[in-house]
Amino acid sequence: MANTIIDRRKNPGSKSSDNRQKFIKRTKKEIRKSIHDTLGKRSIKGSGDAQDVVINRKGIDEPQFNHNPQSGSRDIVLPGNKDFVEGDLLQKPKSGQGQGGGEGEASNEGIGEDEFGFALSNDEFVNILFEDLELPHMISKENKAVERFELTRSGYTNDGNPSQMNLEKSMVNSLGRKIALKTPKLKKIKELEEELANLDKFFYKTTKEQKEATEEWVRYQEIEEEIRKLRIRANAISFVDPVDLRYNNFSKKPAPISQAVVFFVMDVSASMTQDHKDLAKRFFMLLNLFVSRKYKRVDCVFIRHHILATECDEHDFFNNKENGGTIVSSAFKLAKEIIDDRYSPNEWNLYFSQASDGDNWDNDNEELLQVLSNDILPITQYFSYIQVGTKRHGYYNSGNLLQEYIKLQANHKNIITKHIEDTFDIYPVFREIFKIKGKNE
Amino acid sequence: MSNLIYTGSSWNFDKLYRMMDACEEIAVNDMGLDCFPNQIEIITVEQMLDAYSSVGMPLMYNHWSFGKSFIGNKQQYSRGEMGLAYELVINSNPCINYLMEENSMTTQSLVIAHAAFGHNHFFKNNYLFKQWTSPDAIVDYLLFAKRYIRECEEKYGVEIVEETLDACHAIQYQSINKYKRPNKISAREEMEQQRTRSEYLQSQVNDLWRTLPETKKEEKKEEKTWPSEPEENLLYFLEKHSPVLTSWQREMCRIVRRVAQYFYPQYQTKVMNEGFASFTHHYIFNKLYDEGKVDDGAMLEFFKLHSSVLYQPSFDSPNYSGFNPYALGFAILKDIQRVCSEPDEEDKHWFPHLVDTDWRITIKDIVANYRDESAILQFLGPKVIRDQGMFNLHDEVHYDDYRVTSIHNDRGYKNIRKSLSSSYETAAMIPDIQITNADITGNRDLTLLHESYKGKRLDEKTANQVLSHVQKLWGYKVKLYTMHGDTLLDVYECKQESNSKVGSDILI
Repeated sequence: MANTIIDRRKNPGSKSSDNRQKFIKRTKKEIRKSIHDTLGKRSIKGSGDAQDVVINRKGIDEPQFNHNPQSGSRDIVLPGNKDFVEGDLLQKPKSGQGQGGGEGEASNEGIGEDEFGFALSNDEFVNILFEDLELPHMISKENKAVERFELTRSGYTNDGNPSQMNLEKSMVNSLGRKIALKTPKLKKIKELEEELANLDKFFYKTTKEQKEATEEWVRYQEIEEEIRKLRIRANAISFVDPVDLRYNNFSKKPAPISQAVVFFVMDVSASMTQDHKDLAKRFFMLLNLFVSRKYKRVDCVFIRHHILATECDEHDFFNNKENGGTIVSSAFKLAKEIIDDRYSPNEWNLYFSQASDGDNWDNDNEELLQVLSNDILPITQYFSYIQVGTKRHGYYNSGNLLQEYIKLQANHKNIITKHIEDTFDIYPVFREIFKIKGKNE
Repeated sequence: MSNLIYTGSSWNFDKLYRMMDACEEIAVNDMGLDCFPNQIEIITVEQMLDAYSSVGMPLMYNHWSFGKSFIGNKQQYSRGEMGLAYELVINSNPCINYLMEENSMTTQSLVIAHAAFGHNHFFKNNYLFKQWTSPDAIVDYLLFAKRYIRECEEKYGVEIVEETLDACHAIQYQSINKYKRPNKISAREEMEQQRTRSEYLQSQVNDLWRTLPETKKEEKKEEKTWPSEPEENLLYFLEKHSPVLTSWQREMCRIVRRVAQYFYPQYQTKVMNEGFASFTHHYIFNKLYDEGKVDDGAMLEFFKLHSSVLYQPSFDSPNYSGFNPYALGFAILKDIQRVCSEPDEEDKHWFPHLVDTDWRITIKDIVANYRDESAILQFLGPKVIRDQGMFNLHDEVHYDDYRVTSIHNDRGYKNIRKSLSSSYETAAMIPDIQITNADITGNRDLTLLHESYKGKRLDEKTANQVLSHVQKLWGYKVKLYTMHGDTLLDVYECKQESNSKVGSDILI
């Protein structure tokens, strides 16, 4: 019997990844709901970790015809009798809690029977989180007509340009083929030839008859025959066969030439309570994650303002504390300077996202509207304004910036205003703002 | 000079080969086993999880439900809630054995004896496997199925393929020929047949109705039910007769039922298969020890493994979850071995035909010709019943108490044996559902009949879900009756609109 042992450990793993993706695709709605439910509770910035999600089993049922255990009569044989005798009565456990042979699935801690919990990788998580979202109205700036392609390496092909031949791959194939065909080794032939040469020396000066009488002569003939056979075999198997050849493959990928910059504008004045700042930051974190994950060529500009506006880096934007009064227009004046300086609207798509509690120094409102409608909105693709804070009796207990911005909407279609009351609003509002137009949830 | 095959706990390929040879020597020359060639494959945890979720097969078509079980298993495994099997063995020729890389050398040895010789012999010789499965073709067939389903996904869309498979999976256990044997064909033939079949079917679908002569129609009316005999294989019936399926969907029905058929012998022989494999590893290992080929340390480790695999908790233990098939099967076979070689008075009374026979021949005969139900009925002896303290409870739904009807005494043995045996009947495990009528000349209603086993009814929620799946495959109204003898217990009717077919939403 031919028994073989094969080491499969080096085989490519993750055979199940296709099925896993199918499963995730099927449960996307549920997963998104689960993400929404938990998003308010945790920091979304945590990267690299797997994200636990819990979804409802409905929709991933695999129904089969089953017997109802509470029906019919049955006889059960059990092991481990200690003191029962015939005729003993045993009380049934209450409330249908099946004892023995129960099919109740072991539920994970804190997860109900109708729920299915598992971990998503960070990439899967982010993909689902931001699916169907985009920075709207993005257009290719500059030369719209010219499409540019980049060549990227993508594996190997069986035929191609000789200059692209991949020697390493080809030789590995050649070697593999020769081993599989049991090609004689050159070394072996060389050894035989050496032996032959030695014998030749040995026969030197002997006559033909003497030579043919020796034992070595038999060996001599054997070697000659073997060399001949090996050579025939070796010649029949080519050193490099066309089937061995592999070429580097390149594929054309369209290179994006649209570039964009997103301005993050956050109010950090004293009127922003800790809660307000938390909401604003959470919103911006989501936006930051979205922009950095979805777009390769998008710049971010972070602007914080109270009565003065400053540009800062990502870390300061999310972490530093400041206080003071509020002059919102200062932020946009600074933004305008930055645009003039670095981001020409001819070359860049401009996006603004502002978060504030709606407070502004009363005398500044007029100037703010001026700056926005003259300098900012005309050159901006999309402007989103988030007002954070609670609504009481139909009024915002914070400032009135929202009303001012709504006025702007009459003349400018590219501004959207939303209100966020607590952390659970963030994700739905975010989806609404960046939803790809024409796609339904 | 030491005789030992190995020392120490770590394994290498050299040791494995020597162990294979030593096991084979005993299995073939001493026990007289007849096995397929073995192909041992060393795999990682990840690969074992992959194999788990493709129902233990080396490859499987893609479907989200396998992803679900993969994710579920992985989650449980990584939380330490579930251990993985040491091995997985596939009924194929050559017989593929998966061994986990983290097993110790003793574990690998036990697993080789257990799977590569025990299970292997069982697969090759048990009548159910011989009749129902084609080990030469299964891997090729799965390859064909995987490719075919992928092509369908590309051609017709992932959603509709998934939906069709969902519906097929729901009735896969009712899509098994229990009496009529399938004919064995190779994968290539299968592929050619599939092509001609789908062309033929498609060409028939439209013309079938038009070309029927008028006179024949009248004849049809006389026939009250069609099919004339109830059809036990639901997917077979739907594949051949559903008015709404396209040819590729019919092929999918076929794939699902053929895979289900392949597994049919496995759940009927769980006890005997595991019992015999355990018997084999136990015999081989003791023999190796007697011959001085394994040392005391290895033997101790072996016993520890053996007893944990064969642990049978009592009914009142929190760990109890039914009979452990390894333990039950092993106990029965071990007892038969004893009856053959050292019978006592009781055995002469119970097993007169086995006493003083060659246990090797007797046990091989049991392995070849019985399944769990029949083997227990024939060979569960009083000693095993006593040793395990078996007792029988009678459960009547409307009573508040269970009644102990038999215990391990002279009055009880036969009753316990019969009762345990019948719990391994397929009808006790899987509801028996057949197609009794398809009204193809009228409103096209499809009628299913559930023959109740001992008055058991169906679980209502899942029954309705499955029915809506059947309705999708049939395309018209589907009804299900549960009958116990002549009594009608339940009627299920799908509440879904008629003429909904695959492609519409799932109704829950």
